[in-house]
Amino acid sequence: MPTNEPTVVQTIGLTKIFKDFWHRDRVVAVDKLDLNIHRNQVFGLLGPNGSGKTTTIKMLLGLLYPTRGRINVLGRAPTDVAIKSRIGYLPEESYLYRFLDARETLDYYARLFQIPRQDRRRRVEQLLEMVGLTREARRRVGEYSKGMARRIGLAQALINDPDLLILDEPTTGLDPVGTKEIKDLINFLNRQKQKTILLCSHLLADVEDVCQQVTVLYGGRQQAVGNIRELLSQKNLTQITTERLSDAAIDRICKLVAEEESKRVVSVSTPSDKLETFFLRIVKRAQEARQQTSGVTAGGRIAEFLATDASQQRPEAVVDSLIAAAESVKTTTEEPESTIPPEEPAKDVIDELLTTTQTTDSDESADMDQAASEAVTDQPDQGDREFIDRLIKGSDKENDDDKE
Amino acid sequence: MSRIWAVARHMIAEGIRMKIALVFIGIIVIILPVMPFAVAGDGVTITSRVQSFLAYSLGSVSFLLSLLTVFLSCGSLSNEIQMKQILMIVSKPIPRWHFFAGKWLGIVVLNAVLLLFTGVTVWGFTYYLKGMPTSVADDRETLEYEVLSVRHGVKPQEPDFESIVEEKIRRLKEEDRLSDMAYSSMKDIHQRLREDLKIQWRTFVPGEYTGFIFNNLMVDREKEDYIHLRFKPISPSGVDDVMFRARWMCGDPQYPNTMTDQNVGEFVCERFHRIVIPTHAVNPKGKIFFGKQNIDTKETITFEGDESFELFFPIGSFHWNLFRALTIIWCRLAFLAVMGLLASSFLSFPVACLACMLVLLVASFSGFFSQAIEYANIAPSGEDPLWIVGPLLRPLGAVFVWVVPDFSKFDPIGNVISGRVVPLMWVIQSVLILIFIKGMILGILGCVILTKRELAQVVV
Ligand SMILES: Nc1ncnc2c1ncn2[C@@H]1O[C@H](COP(=O)(O)OP(=O)(O)O)[C@@H](O)[C@H]1O
Ligand SMILES: [Mg+2]
Repeated sequence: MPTNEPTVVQTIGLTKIFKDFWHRDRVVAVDKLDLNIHRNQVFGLLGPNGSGKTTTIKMLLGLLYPTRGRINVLGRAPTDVAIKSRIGYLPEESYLYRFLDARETLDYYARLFQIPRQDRRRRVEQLLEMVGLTREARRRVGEYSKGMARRIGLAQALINDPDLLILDEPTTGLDPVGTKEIKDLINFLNRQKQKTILLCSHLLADVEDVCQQVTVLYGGRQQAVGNIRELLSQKNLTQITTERLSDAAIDRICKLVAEEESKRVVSVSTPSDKLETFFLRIVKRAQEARQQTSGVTAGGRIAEFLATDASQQRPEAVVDSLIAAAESVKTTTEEPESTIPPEEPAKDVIDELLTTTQTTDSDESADMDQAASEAVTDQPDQGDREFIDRLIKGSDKENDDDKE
Repeated sequence: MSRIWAVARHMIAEGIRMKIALVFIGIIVIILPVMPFAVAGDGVTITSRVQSFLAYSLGSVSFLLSLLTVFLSCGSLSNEIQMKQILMIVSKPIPRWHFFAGKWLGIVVLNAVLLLFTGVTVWGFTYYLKGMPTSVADDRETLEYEVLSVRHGVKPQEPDFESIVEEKIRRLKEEDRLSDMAYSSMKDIHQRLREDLKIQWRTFVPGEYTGFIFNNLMVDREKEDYIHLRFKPISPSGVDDVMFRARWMCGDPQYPNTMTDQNVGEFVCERFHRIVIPTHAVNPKGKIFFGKQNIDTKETITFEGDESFELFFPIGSFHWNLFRALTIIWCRLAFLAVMGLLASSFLSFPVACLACMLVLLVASFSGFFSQAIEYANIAPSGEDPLWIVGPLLRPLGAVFVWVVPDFSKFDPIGNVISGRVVPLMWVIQSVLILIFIKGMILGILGCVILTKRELAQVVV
C-alpha cells in the first residue's frame, strides 16, 4: 500500500549506545535506524528479545536521548511536550500505581491531558467498559493480574483519543480474548479513524493480522523493511479450503492437479478446531451465562468517544497540514496534504479483511469464525479462476454425496 | 496549573494511602492527646505544665513532620523513577517541572493539613489544662500573663557606650597605660571595655539608682491595661536565695499624668519576677521611664544576659501566635520537601534519604558549621590541616552552608512557650527565605535535573 500520507514518525540514522559507569560503550541497542511511518498506517516493529524495539520507542517519546541521529515525531522533536497530547503510549509493562483503583488511575492520566471533568468521566467509564473492567474498577490496581493491568494500560493509552498510538508488545500477558480485542481495536482505529499505530512485538501472528508495514530489527539493526503483503506472499502456492471431502475425492483432485497443471499437491489436512476459536467460544458462553469472575468481564465494545465519526472531530487537520508542510520542506517530494481522507465505507473494510485472509496461510484464516463456516469466499486472481471452476465441477458428485 | 494540581492530588493520595504517612499521622494523633496527661512540668503549677506540654507537643510534631516530609519527598519521586511509573507520566503532555512542582505542592498541602490539625489540638488541650485545678495562688493568672497573652518584649535602651569607650581609650593612651591591658589587639580592648561598661550599667550596688528608658511601646494608653517588667536578678556573690529590697517608680516627668506611685518590694535572686505597670505610665510617644533603686544595705545585685530585664506589653492572642509559629514550621517543612525532591531527582531512595537527613542535621547546627568555615578561612595558611584540598573544599562548604538555611533561626517554638509574639515580619521572612529564595533555587535545580535526565535509563 504505497502512501502519500504525511510522515508522522521519521528517524534518520537513529543510534543508541548504552554506556557503562565509566562511560565506555557497552551495548549498541539501536544502530542507524531509518524509520518512516506515514499517517494512517499500522507499522510493525519486529524483532527478537533485546533487538532494540523498546529502546527505539523510548527514544521516540523522549524517555531516552539518541546517541546519534535525528527524530521527528508529529513534526517536532520528541522532547516537545505539546505533541504528547496527540500520542498514546502503552509501555512494555504497565507501570501503574498500586494504591489507586482502576477508575482513579484512568482519571489521573485524563487529568494530565487536561480533559474537562464531564468528558473525563465519560471517557473513563467507556474505556473501563471497553477493556471489561467496569466491575473490578473499585479494586486497587496493585491487586490486578498482569493481563488486567495490561488492559488498564491500554485504556490509559487511549484516553486522549490519540492520533499516534504507540504500543510496546500490547498482547503480552493478555488472554486470547484480549488479544483479539486489541487486534480488532487496532484495525478499527486504523481503518475507521485514520489513526497511525506503531506496534512493536515479537509475536508474529499479532503483527501479521494488523500491520501494513513492518520493519524487522536484529541487534538494533534494520534487517528488512516493507509492505507486509509483499514480504509474505508466497507466489508459488495455492490454497483451497472446502467442506470436508472424502478420501476418494482427494485422490481424484490430486490426480486432476497432476494431469492439468503437472503439479504436486503439497499437503492435505483436516484442520482441527483452532484452540483459539475453541477458547473464545467457551469464554463467550460463560460470559453469556453471567458466571461469577473477579477477572475481566465481557468488554470489547469500542469506547464511544473513540468511535465517534472521525471526520467530524478533526481540528488536528490543521496540525496535520502543518506537519505536511514541514515534510515538504524537508523532502520536497510530497504535496502538502490538507484534505481529510474520505471515510472508507464498511464494505471496503470487509473486502480488505478478506484479501488479507487470502494471502495468509490456512491457520490464520481459520480464526475468522465466519470465514471458516462460509466455505470458500476467496476472490482469487484471474489466472487461477478457471482452474478452480473446473476443480469444483469435477468434484460435484462427491460434494452432493457428502451433503446428503 | 490543573496538571500541577492533578499531580499534587495524587501525591496527597499517596501520602495518605501509603502506610508511612499513616504511621506518622497515627503517632501524632496518639501523642497529642496523651501528652497533656503525661507531662507534669514542675509537678505543681499548671503554668509549667502547659509550658512543657507546648514544648513537647510542638517539638515532637515538628520533628516527626520533618521526618515524614523527608521520607515522603524522597520516597515518592525516586520510587516513581525506579518503578518506572514516571515513564507513563512524562509521555503525557505535562512538562517535567510541573510534575516536580505538583509533588512539592502535594507534600506541602499535606503538611499544612497536619499542622492545622496539630494547631487545633494543641490549642484545645492548652485551654483544657488551663482549666485544671491548682493549689498555687495566682497560678492561673501567671499562665494567662506568661503564656496565653502574647506579648512583645522590649529591652531597655542602652546608653551610648561607644563614645564612653572611645573616651576611655583616649585617656588610657594619654596616660600611656594602654599596654597594661593584657590584650593583643585594639579590637579586643575595645570589646572588653564595652563589656565592662555594660555589666556596670546593669549592676546595682547598695543604694544605687538607675533610670532606664524603654522605647516603641505600642500600647493603647486609654485602655486600662498593664504592661509587665520581667526580670531575674542574680547576686554576684553566687549565694543562692539572696533577698534584697528595691524601690521603683515610672512615668515621664514631662507628662505629669504618667507618673506612678513609688513602690517598694522584696525579691529573691535567681527567680523571675514580674512588676505590673499601668499603661497610662507610657508617654504619648510610646516611651516609658523606669527608675529603680537598690535600697538594700549590703547586697549588690546584677542582671545577666539580655533576657533577664525586659518589659512586656500584650500584642496579640495565643491562637494567632500559635498559627504564625506553625506557619514558620510549615516553611521549614516546605524547604525540606524541595530538598527531598531535589535529592531524589538523581539519587535512589536510601541515598536521597540519607542526604536529606544530613542536610537536616546541618540545618539544625548550621550556625556551628558556618562558624567553623569562617574560622578555617582566617586560620593561618601554614597550619591548614587540609592544606591542598582545603582551598577547594571550603568555597563548596560555604555554598552549602549558604544554601542550607540555619534552622535555629526559624524556630518559633520557644516564643510560643514563653508567650512572646512571633512577629509577622519573621513569618514573612521565613516564607521569603525558605520558600522563595532557597527553596526556589533548589527547586529549579531539581527541575533542571529532572528535565535533562534520561528517565528510562536504569537506576541501580
Ligand atoms: N537502560 C539500559 N541500559 C543498558 N542497556 C539497555 C538499557 N535498555 C536496554 N538495554 C539493552 O539494549 C538492548 C535492546 O533492548 P530493548 O530495546 O529493550 O529490546 P526489545 O527489542 O526486547 O524491546 C538490550 O541488549 C538491552 O539489554
Ligand atoms: Mg521490549
